[in-house]
Amino acid sequence: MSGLDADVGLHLGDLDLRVTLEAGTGETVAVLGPNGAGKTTAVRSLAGLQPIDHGRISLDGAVLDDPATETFVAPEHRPIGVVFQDHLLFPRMSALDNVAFGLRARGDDRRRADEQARSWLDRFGLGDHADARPAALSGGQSQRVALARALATDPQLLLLDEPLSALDATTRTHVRAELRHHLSSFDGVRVLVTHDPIDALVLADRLVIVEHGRVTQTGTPAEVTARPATPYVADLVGINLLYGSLAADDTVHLDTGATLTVAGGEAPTGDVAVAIRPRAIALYRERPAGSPRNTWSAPIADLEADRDRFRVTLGGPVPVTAEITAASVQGLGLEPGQELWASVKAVDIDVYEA
Amino acid sequence: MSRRRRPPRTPWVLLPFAVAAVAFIALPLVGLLQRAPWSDLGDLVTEPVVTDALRLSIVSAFAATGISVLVGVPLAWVLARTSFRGRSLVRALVTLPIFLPPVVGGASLLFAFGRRGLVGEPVYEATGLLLPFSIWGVIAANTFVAMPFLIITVESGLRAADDRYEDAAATLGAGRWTVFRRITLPNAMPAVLAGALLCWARALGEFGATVTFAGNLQGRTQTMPLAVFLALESNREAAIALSLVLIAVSLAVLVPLRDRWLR
Repeated sequence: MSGLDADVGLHLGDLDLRVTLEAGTGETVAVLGPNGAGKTTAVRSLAGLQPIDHGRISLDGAVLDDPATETFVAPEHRPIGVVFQDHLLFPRMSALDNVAFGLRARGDDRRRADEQARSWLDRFGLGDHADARPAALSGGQSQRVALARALATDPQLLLLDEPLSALDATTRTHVRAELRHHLSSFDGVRVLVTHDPIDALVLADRLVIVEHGRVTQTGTPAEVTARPATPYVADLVGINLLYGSLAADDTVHLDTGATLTVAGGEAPTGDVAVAIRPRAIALYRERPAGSPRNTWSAPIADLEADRDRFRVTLGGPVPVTAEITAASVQGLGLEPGQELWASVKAVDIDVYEA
Repeated sequence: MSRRRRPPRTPWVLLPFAVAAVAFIALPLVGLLQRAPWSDLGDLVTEPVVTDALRLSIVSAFAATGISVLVGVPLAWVLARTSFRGRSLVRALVTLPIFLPPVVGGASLLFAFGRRGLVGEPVYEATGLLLPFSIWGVIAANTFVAMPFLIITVESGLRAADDRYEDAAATLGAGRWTVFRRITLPNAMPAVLAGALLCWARALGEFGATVTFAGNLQGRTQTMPLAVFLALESNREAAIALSLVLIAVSLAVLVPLRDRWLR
């Protein structure tokens, strides 16, 4: 079969991992789970950095790891590119040498490797940074070099291990949009590991939720968000996704008629999706003083207890769910139907090309 | 990234102790300088006994450092990156020369590589090669006492290095040797240089093992420390001149490198 077909079973310290993972050519599968769920270990086993104890890993029909037949293909012989957490660009090499590294390791002579590496850097808009050391690159640039380095060897499978976690919150949104764009130009199998539901929802065609070393749910983002199988997945549902149109002045005109001010970013003007985390929305009884630009009043449509927190669903032109602590519910004296003031900072709104 | 250093909040009680430490190291040097026969110095340091010893010391210290890097770096890698039964025993063994009196080291070398030694005897009978009482003996003695400094420095450097870069290189198609050559070694280079410097310094000052194993023959095995010791008995001014030369050579190597690699 074409694509990745992996049944990963291994014990490592406290971790007991048993995960099956299938991904077709041209598909992006996100492995999503809390920290410590075994996601990085799963990626390492696919890359050949961690042999599995039982199960079987094959890619486009070729077996890479099968303990039952004592088959194990070493990482340097697997057609797999990896974008690591923290990117792991070689600190003593220029951006160009980083990208050329894999080509030279696979036998290209220096001139040819440099030529190809340069064209990769050009393609990712880094032509001017070929001689820069990794320390001199911004988070977004370093991520693009890491991606170029992984893709330069023409892999059949691209693994991305928390590619955005090294970035601060503001650059993250930009780089995520960029990554989405660049991923679509790679036509092999794409597996993304992340603990950030926004990464998964924005970048993946299919989600595989891993908790405590086991797959707890799989499906398209829409399927998973519609029917969360576990409390962890239920937390994903809470992410508010709104649709609208981004204007040049950094305002988004929602399809519902309301307007939000956003921080601006890489998303082009036109149709966009807007993601707001429930915890980023603040609620007030009175109109807040010195109010942020995105402040509106709305009736409480629903109020739902979720363990130690409350999820407050708002009606009106900005249909979102906010999450607040039980203590603040009592402080605000909330009940359904009541009018509240809600606000969200522009920097807490992520915008994507829809 | 620039870090702004705040002014130190000095615990004053430390100061007298720090001053005492500096004084204890500086005073003997001052004593040496104060007794130095400055007017005859030019003649003294150009005497054959001095130039022979200096040449021998420098050549053997560099040779010992070269050998130590060649075999010590691979051993440091094995100790840092692999685990096998008896690893702690090997580690204890290779650091032993640091704790051993050098004279004992020299005697052990004699029993192993001497004319009647475990290895020395068959080698001598087969090839006529003999380590003791030659410059090879000096180099062997230097290597024996100095290499452990290189090994432990490089091993701790390799342990401190982030081995995920090696994983990244492997996924890019680099075989084990390429990973070592292009990633591991460059990342560990500061430790290798620091270790080589310590090793060189220890080899330059070697006395006990050298005199026991290689003897004290001017022009063949008499290094600077041996010449100083001998001159102290007969010609005190020559001893001081020799010492000054040794100090000058050490400073010439140490001063430019100390702040960069030894921290």
